Amino acid sequence: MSDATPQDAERVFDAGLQPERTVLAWQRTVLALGIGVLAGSRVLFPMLGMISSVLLAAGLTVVLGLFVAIRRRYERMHTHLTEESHLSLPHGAVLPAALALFVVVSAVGALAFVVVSALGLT
Amino acid sequence: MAEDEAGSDSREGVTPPPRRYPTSLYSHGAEPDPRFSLANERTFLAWIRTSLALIAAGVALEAFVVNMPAGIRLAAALLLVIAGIAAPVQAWVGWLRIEGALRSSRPLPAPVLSLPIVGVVVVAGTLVLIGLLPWS
Repeated sequence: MSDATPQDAERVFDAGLQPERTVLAWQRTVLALGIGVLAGSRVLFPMLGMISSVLLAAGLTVVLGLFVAIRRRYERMHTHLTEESHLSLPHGAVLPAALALFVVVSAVGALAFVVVSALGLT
Repeated sequence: MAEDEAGSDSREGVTPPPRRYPTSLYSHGAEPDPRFSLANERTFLAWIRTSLALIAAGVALEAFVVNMPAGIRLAAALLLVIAGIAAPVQAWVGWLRIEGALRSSRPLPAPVLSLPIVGVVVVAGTLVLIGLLPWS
C-alpha cells in the first residue's frame, strides 16, 4: 500500500510527463541491450566456449548497472526539477556516452563474429 | 512552468547548475527548456535501439540463415553490422549537435549519417532479397 498523498501525485515537473517518458525510453533501450547480451552470448558459445560466459557476466553487469543508474538519475532529476529554484537538467551526458561506447564496442565484436564465422576460422 | 522559467539561471541568487559532462558543451550558451533536452535524449536512445536492431539482424543473418549464397549473406551481414556501428556514432554526434543548437538558439541540425545508414540498409535488404530468390 502506497502512502503517497494527492499532493505528491501533483508534483510532476511537466504535464506531458517528459522525464517519465525519457526514463521509460531508457528502460526499453537497456532491456533491448540485455536481450542482445543474452542472445549474443548464446550465439558465441559454440565459438568461444566458456569465454562467452565471461562476456555474458560482464554484459549483464553493465546492463544492471545502467538500470540502477537510470533509476537514480530519474529520482535526482525529478527532485531537481520539482523542488529546485532553477530549471535545468542536473545531469550531463555520462550515461549516454557510456551507452554509445558500449554499443559501438559490441558492434565491433559482432563484426568480428560475422567475419570469423563466414571465413570458417573456428 | 518550464517555458516561463527556462534559462532563468542567470538570475541573481540562483544556484548554478552542477558541473556536467561534456564540459565543452555545457560551458557555452544558455540553459534550454529541460523538455527539449529530454526529447533530444529520447532521439539519442531511438538511434541506439536502431543500432541494436541492425547488429542483431547482421549477426542473425550470418548465424542462422543457411539457404543463401555465402558471399551474398556475408556482404549483407557486414553491411548491417557496419550500419550498426554507424548508428551509435550518429546517436552521440547528433545528440551533441542538437544540444549545442538548443543552447545557442540555433536551428536544429540534420542527422548527417542518416542518409548513408539508410543507403546501406537498402543495399543490405536488396542483397538479402536477391539471396533468397530461388535461382540464386
